[in-house]
Amino acid sequence: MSGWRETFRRGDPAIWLAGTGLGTSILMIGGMVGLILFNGLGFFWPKPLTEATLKDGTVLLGELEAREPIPAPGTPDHLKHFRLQFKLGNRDLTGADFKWVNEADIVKMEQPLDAVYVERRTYGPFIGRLAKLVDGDRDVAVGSEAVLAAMPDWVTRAESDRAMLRDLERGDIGAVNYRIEQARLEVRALDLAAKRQPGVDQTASRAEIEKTLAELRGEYAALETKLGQANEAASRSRVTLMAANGELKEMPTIDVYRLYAANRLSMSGRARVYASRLWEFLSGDPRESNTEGGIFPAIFGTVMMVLIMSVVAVPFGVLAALYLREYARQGPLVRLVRIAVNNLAGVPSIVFGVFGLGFFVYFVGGAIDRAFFPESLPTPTFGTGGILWASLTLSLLSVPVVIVAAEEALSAVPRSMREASLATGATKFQTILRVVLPSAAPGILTGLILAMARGAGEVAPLMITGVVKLAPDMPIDGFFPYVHLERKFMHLGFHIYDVGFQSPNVEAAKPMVYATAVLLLVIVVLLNLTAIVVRNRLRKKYQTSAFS
Amino acid sequence: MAEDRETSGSVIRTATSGVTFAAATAPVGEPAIVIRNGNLWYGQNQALHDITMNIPAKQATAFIGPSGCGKSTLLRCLNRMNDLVDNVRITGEFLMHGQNINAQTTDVIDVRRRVGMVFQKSNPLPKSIFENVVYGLRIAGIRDKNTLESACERSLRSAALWDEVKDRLNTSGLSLSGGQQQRLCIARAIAIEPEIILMDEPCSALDPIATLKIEELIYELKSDYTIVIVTHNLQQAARVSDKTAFFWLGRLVEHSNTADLFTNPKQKHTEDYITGRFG
Repeated sequence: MSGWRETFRRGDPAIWLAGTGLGTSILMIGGMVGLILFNGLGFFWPKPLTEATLKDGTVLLGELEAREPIPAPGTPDHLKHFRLQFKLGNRDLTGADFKWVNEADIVKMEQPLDAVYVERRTYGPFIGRLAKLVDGDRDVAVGSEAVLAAMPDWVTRAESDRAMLRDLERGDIGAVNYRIEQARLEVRALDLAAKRQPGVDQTASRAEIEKTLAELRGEYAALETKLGQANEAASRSRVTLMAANGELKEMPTIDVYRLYAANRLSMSGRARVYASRLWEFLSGDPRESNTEGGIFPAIFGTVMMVLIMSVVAVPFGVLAALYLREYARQGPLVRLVRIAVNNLAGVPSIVFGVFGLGFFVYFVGGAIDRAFFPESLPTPTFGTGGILWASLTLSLLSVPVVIVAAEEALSAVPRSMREASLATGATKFQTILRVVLPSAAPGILTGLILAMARGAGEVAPLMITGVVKLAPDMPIDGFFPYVHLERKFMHLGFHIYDVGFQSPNVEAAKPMVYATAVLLLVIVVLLNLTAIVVRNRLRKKYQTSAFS
Repeated sequence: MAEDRETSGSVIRTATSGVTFAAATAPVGEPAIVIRNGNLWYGQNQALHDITMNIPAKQATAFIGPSGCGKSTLLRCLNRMNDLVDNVRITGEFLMHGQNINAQTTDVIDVRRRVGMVFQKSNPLPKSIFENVVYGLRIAGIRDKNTLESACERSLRSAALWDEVKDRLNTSGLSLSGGQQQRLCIARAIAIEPEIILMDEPCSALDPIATLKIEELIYELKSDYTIVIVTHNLQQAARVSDKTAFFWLGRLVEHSNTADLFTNPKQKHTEDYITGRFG
């Protein structure tokens, strides 16, 4: 008993307890991050293709995804036998990408060298063999080996054709469309002006607009013909694929995004496929209702939103903290405000979202539309969710974090330093500007880091203030005024939710969820690292003293 | 030197609000500051009781007394540093050139430019040595590089620090040793050409050698500036000051020439204190 008491007095149990706490936390966080990393990064690695022949003669060809015991409660076979999950692809032929097969039913399993994995524009991947490649009426290659040898050139060509078509659609036709829309709005503006001042003669300006409009329509028609021709030219070459059961499928080569004979790839070949998939994921647009392709728009939207949020939240937070800490008379009222600010940080984010929708989107945005964009009404411009409103809602949410951190940083500036400044004849404002704020800057940046981490991870308030599943137009593009803060945008957090739970093909989308989660983590870490580096520099610069 | 100060002083003393002081500096021995019936309360607590004394110009006056006797509080009344403390009430007159320092209408900034201060703990700003010295000038709106550089050199020479730091004016003021930091603070205080320099136990955190240097410096400086120094070190008071004032429990007990006070104290309390019988 006395031995235990002695141990307790020395504090050993406290060490064990604290150590256990830390260990458990690290284990949980490490486990979660490890799981996400493993699943997310493994997604891009090309797996071998397995061909299985079943007892009933069916042949399956696909990637082996999982092996698990078959539950049969109450029978002696419970968890004794196993079943395999195949990723078969070929959704257009069979209707399902995945299939479970009892191991007992399989007669033969092998990895055929000519099996190919084809990523294409629609219906998910195709897994099978190559049969024939034609260009117009001419046979380019016939037979699995010949087509496999010929395909890489055609895939490269398909890529450049797609880029060309996209440039035509988005660039030239997009520009004409934009100008036609502007002309339509000008007509609307004239209509509105006519309603306000009926007497004014508008024939000249109307004729002017009509003339431009006619020109633009001509341009548009020409471009459309050009696009049609380009499309036709690009889809002349076609490849025929054969599924494991012998069924044939023909498609234009322009629809082929990537093609590889999985069982023949060397290690470096696999690495190349991995790198090219990863690059597509980071830089490309989403395909197949977000379950394939890249997520660049979501990365861009997330980063831009966090930056706008910081730019708004930090000045406001710092100013508020300055008043609270430096100018306000410390008393019950200031204490009350401080408590309120602290509690604001704990309000559920969806509440901020609802407020943002009501105040920013409908009230402020609606007012802006009525004042500046009356010709577009009833289609809202600012009166609907957009990246600006989402960012402002998030700044509202993160401003308390900034205030609390900035206040702490300000109060940590030693009194002796303020006295030094004041005693040389500086005013309070000069002292704050030249001494207090620079010294508090590292602490304020800590607040920014916390705010960014919180802002980047929020999804709920964004869902009602401007995030969408698919935003074809980015908030920054080549059309005046180049930055379109009213546009809806994509966000990684929402992307995870959407792909994981709203997509029609959840099983196929699962790896995408992991990969997106990895990316969101990486982006938050990068944003934080940047702020931390800046903070450490400042800290070094404004270090108060080696001893105090 | 005096003319020099007038010119740079006129550069500094622009753009102030409130009542400012006449420009003339009091001659040696004449009172630079006249304190009449000074009382000070922290809330309900009276810290200074009816202080009446003159502080002579271009001489060093030492405030001595046990801790909590009000000597630092009185010192801070002379450049209105007590403004930073909540709930302070001051009555009586603290006159400089006939103007009450603690009056509501007096321009605080003008007071602090005329009455510089060196603190107990050296407090260089987290800036370079150069920027530390010229801080007060920059605050006053002086941008001319030559003016700043010559002011920096003059102040550092006056503070006996120039030779040690002239090759590294751009390094941080915090990289200096404790004694050098304190001399840097003195340089900062004299860069704005004040009339009076207040020193609140400037050597209490320094080793004996650094202390000696600061004392020599005070001895030098008092030919140009009026110096008021608060110290717990009686030998120091005896070494550097011309006048000494002994405080006890917020009251001025005795104020006379330093030599007289230490050799021939008039009050029993003073004698007890300087002979180490209490405090």
